[in-house]
Amino acid sequence: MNDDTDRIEGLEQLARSRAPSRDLWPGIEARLHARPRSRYGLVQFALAASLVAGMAALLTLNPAPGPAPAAAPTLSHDSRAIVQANLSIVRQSGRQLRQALRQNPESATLRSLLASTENRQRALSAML
Amino acid sequence: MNKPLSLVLTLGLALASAAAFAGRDGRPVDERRTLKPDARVEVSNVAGLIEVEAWGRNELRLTGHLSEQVEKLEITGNESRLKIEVKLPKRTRHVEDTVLHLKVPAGITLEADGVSADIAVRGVKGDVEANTVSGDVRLEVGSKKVEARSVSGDVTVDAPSVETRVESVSGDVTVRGVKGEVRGETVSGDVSVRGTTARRIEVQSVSGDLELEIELAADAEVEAKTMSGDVVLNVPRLPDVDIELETYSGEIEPSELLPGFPAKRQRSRRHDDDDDDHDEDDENREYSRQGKGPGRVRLHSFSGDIMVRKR
Repeated sequence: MNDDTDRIEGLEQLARSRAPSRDLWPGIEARLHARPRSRYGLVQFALAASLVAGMAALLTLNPAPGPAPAAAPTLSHDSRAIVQANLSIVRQSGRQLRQALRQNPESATLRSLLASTENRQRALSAML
Repeated sequence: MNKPLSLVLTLGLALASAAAFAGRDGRPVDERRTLKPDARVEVSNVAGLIEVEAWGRNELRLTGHLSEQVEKLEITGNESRLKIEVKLPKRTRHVEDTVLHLKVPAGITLEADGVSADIAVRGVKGDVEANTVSGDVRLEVGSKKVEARSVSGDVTVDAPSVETRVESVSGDVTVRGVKGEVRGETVSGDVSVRGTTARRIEVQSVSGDLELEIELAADAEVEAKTMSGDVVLNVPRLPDVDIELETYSGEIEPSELLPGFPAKRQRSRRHDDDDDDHDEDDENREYSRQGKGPGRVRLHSFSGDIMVRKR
């Protein structure tokens, strides 16, 4: 039980709130949409199979930049929302990286992260 | 009761029972095919489950049930290469769950594809590839090569594979027991690699956390990259190899495995505006050291924290 004798000296001088070190909303938003089941017909199944194959080709680690596939498969409403939420995460990441690169154009790490981010953006855009 | 009337009633009762059964559990499936021990099996299902389990016979046993919308279950091919497809009428828009349980020889090569179907594979020793969109993938196999992907589902692989590739967009990815080369990638899902003696590990995410709980040999190459996720490397020790940790706006956690960190004189490659506070922050954002071994550990983030912990 707290009373005056239990008070920790200097506690009231500490900040009452602390801002997170990064923007957490995109991750929260993606999780809110997480994993709903969707139902597909035969056509959608074929397209989705193409989607998975396309994803396999595009979501490679350190892939060489290349054009997005021409055909964009149809996703269910739920899956589309998930991909869009993740695409917004990726786009925001790209903006942050480009801004950081303007301050520090020599950074190989930033360039590498940006290359990966742009590849992911292409891959996710191709799904929609 | 006269004979024709009783026959009609009996048939009606049987049909009603069958209809009730089908409505509750779908149409049952029970198929058998002879298979070579090293056959290739391809199976696809739209919604529901694909469950594959190895057994000691050189044959396929397929059980389960088909949903109402399924036009037919098509099984084609021969004892060397078998294809199992759940066929739906064109323009079918809503599909209830179809469940397929397969028992197969352990040595087969398997390709399983779903849309909203979960995929679970146990005991198979040949190569396995599993792809789905909104389902989960769970592989507990003895395969040397494994590929598993989902868009929004979780992907879990437990295998001694030497070539492993796992991906999801928003689902979590977990890998255990693999050897050789591991590649894992997500956008918002977390990636976890555990209990592995892999020689090469590459993991990436955008906002998901990356956690590696592994043992590192002197020739191991580890690369983890994320934008806003945290990177955690749990190891008994760091071998004498090149180590490079860098975060742009996150922090590197001090650790007994990172002697001399943070170093007062260590400078960041970031733009320096001669701000003392900035310099102090930068000291927590880079760590590197040269090693004698051929391996390499590179952990990079933009705003996520980096932690190297002794376990």
